[in-house]
Amino acid sequence: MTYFSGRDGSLVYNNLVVAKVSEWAITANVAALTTTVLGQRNENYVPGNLDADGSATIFYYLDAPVNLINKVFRANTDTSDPAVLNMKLRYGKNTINFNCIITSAELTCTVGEVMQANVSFKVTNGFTGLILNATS
Amino acid sequence: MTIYIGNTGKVDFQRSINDTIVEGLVGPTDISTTKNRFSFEFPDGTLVSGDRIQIKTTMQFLFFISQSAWSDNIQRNQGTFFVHVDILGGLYLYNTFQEAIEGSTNGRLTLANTGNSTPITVQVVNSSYRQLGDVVSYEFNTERDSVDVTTLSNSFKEQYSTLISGSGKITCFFDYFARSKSGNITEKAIYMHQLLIRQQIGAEFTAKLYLLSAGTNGALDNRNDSIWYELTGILTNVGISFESSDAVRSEIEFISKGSVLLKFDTAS
Repeated sequence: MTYFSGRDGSLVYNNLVVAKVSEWAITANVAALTTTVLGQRNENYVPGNLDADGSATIFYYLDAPVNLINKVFRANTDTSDPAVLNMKLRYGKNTINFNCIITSAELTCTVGEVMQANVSFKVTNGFTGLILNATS
Repeated sequence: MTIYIGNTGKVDFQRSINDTIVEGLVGPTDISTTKNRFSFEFPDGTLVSGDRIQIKTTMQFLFFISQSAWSDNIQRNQGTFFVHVDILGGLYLYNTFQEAIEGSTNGRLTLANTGNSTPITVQVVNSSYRQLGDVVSYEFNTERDSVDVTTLSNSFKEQYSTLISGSGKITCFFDYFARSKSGNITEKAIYMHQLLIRQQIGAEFTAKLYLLSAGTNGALDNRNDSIWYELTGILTNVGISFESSDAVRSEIEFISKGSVLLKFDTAS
């Protein structure tokens, strides 16, 4: 049995490993659509669409988070739509591959702490590749 | 090898000041020429015995301070004095710190009652360093905060150093009366108790915590150096306890404010 920890993790954006990531997280949800009708004593559901979103925390060291946060921090002269990114979350040989839109970017500058960026993203069109059971 | 023991250390203490200016009016009924005492309305804790204060007036001169109180017998509209504050808030003026702490009639400056009211402003001003008397022990710790910057795929913890802070504790025998040590008047533990509850000035002080003071190491290696921490501190806790068979001690805890400097003087 193999255990994984942060030591095995990484975040890949456009086939490049993003530096100084201290945390990533992803949550996948399947909507439960109710089909319960009058006279029934138990709730009934059918599965709806899959929806996933996640976040990453990146230390602001040199330009480590810039290519992610600049999808949201945009000059008012930039009239283009934010790009859909290809992102890959890895731990060991496991990968979660998907396209996503950066939905928020938060920069925090606090006395006594290293400046860091928190980025949230929303998966679009589901996962494009999943390996969750690689043993080593 | 030289072993240093506690008798090479000492604590030099300086009362802090701030920009607080107290305004008041000294009327004819506020002056007692028999006791050389005057008063005006000021918030409790603004002035403490031993403070060096500057008194100013917009009038021609400070009417209530008699001509003989000035060293050159010329009255002025401002002057700097040491003050003694009695339990009723009455003020007595002196030329020396020791006399002000004692509050005796010796050295008390003469007041006059001319029947005039004198508007005044009073500000606590710079005082010099004085040795804190009867110190039994002190400890001082400097701390450096660190931030965990370990990132994914690191095998070892990574740390980044951030802010510096200091804290310490002084223990001294309780005393309230000015006594000289080697000819110098020392600050007493009573002021620490007063300082903690001194609202207008705040519980701030400046101190030099000597690891080695000039004159104490000559016998060991024939040098005469000084090493000390210099800091501005804020009192956080002053405690005292009485036991039937032990001397009464004041326990003073503080944290540093701003920079902490470790200084050497090897030129002496």
